[in-house]
Amino acid sequence: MLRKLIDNLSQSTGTALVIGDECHSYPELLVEVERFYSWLMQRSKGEIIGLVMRNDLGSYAFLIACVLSHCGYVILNPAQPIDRNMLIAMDAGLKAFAGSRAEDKDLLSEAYSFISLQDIPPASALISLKAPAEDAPAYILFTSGSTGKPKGVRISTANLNAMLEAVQALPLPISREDRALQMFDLTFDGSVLMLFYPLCHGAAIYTIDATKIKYLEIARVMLSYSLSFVFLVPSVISLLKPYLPTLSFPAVKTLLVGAEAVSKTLLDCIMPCVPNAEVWNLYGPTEATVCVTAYKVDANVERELHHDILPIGKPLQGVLSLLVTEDGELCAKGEQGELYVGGAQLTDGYVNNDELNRNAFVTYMWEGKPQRFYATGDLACLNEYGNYVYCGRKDRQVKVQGNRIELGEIEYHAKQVSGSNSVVVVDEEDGIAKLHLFVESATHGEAEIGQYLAGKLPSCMMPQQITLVESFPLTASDKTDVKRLQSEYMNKRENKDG
Amino acid sequence: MDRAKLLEEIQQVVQQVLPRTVVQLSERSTAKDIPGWDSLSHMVLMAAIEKHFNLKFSFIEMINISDIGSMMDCIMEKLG
Repeated sequence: MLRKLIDNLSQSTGTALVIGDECHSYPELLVEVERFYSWLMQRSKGEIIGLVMRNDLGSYAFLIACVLSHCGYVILNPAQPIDRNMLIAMDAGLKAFAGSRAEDKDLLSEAYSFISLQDIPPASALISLKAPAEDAPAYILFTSGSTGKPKGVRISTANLNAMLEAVQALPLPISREDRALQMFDLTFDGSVLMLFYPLCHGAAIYTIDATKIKYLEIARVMLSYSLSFVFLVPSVISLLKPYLPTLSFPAVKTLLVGAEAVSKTLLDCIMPCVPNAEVWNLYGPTEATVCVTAYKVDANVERELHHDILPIGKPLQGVLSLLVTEDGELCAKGEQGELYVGGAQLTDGYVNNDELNRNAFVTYMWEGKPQRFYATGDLACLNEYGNYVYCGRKDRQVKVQGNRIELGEIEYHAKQVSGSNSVVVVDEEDGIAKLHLFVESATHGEAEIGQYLAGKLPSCMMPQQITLVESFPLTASDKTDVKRLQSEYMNKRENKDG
Repeated sequence: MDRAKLLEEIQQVVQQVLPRTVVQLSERSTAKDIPGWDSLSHMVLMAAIEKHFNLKFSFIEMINISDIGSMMDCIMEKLG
C-alpha cells in the first residue's frame, strides 16, 4: 500500500495537507519528503529517529520520509514532561531526533544529537522514492504502562501495509476528491490511519492546530472546508453536543468513530448532522496497528446494542481473533471472554520489555498452525449476527478522551510524591469522563501532588481532581473499596452543593 | 457594566472553574496562557460564564472568541 503513497506523491497535483488554513500541494510535499528521505537513507538500516511533534509541513514530511526510508519514527511531544520524553528516547534506543524549531533541541539531553529539519540539504535530482522492505520499522508508539513507565509498541512496514489494505477492503472508499480530518496527536495511533490512508489515495488532509480549543477547531475546519472523511472520538462529539442541533456537515461521506466505547445515545446526537455519511465503529489496540475490527452502523443497530454501546464488529481482512476464558480455554458460542487478536497487523512486541512480551503475547493453534496472539485485556462476546460486542476491561486500563491510560501509572507517581496509597477513578459528568485521584492520609497538599504529577505525566493523564482522604474504606477482603470511596465522595459533594 | 468590572467577574468565574490556577487575566489572555485551560475545562468554563451572565453563546460566537477581550466584547454585546 505504501507504493500507492509514493505514486500519489509523484503524480498527484492536488492538495495534500492543509495546516492552519495554509494549503500544501502533493508536489510541495514530495519535495520535502524526498529531501528528508535521501538524508535518512544515509543512516543505519532500522534506526529509529525521534521527531518532535509540530503541526507543520516539515514535520509531516519527515514522518512520512521515516516510514518510506529504512528508518522508523518515534514521536516526542513537547507538551509532555521532559522526564517522559527522556524515558521514551532511552527505551526506543534513539541516537538522534529531529525538530522544525530551534527550541526543539532542548527537548532531550545533549546525549542525543539534534537534527534541525531546516538544515537538511535538498535531495539530489537522482533520488527516487522506493517502498521500504516489509521488515523495516515504521514507528514505535508509546502507550501508558501500569508500572509507571510507558511501553513502546514496535510497528513494522508489514504491519502498517496490512492495516491500510484491510481498511481499504472493508471497503472504506476514499479518492482524490476527498478531504480528510486528522484530529489526532501524532502520539496516538489514530493519526497513522488518518495520515497514511488518505495520502495513499491522493486525498487532502486537514490538520488541527493544537493551540486552539480542539473540539471547536475540529467543527470549524469540518464546516469551513466541507470535510468528507472524518474520524471523531466520542469525547469530541460529547463536547460538541450543545452546538450539534445548529450544525450540519452534509459533505461528510464517511464518519469513523472509535478509540473508546461509543454509545448509541451519543451517536444519535451527531447522526442528524451527517445525513449523507456511512458510519463505522473501529476498534483496535496499538499492538495490532490501529484497528482490527469494524462495525458498519445501519438501521438494525438497535438489536445489537450492549448497554447502549455499539458492537465493535467483525475482524478486518487478515486479522485473527479468539475469545479466551480466564482459564485460557476458547470460549463457547456466545460466552464472554478476553479478546485475543493476531495476524499480519500484530506487532512483534514491546521494545526492551521481555517480561511484558512473555505475558502479553501467547500462541494458539489457528487452522492447524501455531499463531501469535495479543491478549487485549478487552472483554467481549460474539453476538448472533457474528459481531463482537465490547463488554468492558479485564484490568484497570481506561480510555479518557480517546487516550489509553493505565490507572496504575498515575497511582505509581502519586505514591512517589505522597508516600501513601492512592487510587484513581473515572468520574462521568455530562457524558464526559474525568480522572479523579484519591490520596490516603497524604503528607502533601493537593497542589503539591498536582505539581509533581504535572512533571511526570502528559496532560491527558493528569487527574482533573485530587481529593485527600483520611483513610480509605475497605472491602471484606481488606482491599480498598473503590466503589464506596467514590460514592462517599459523591454524597459529600451533593450535600455540600445542595 | 464597564470592562474592568466585567473582567473582574470573568476572573472570579475562571477561578471557580480552575481553582488550581493562579493567573491575573487581562484582555489579551488566551487559553494557552492559562494552565489547565484545555478543551474539557473550556466547555465547563463557557457553561459557567453563560450561567453567570445568564446568556448563551452560539457556535459561531464560540469559535470567534479567541481571547478574554473578544469574550468580553461578545458578552457586552449580548447584555446590551
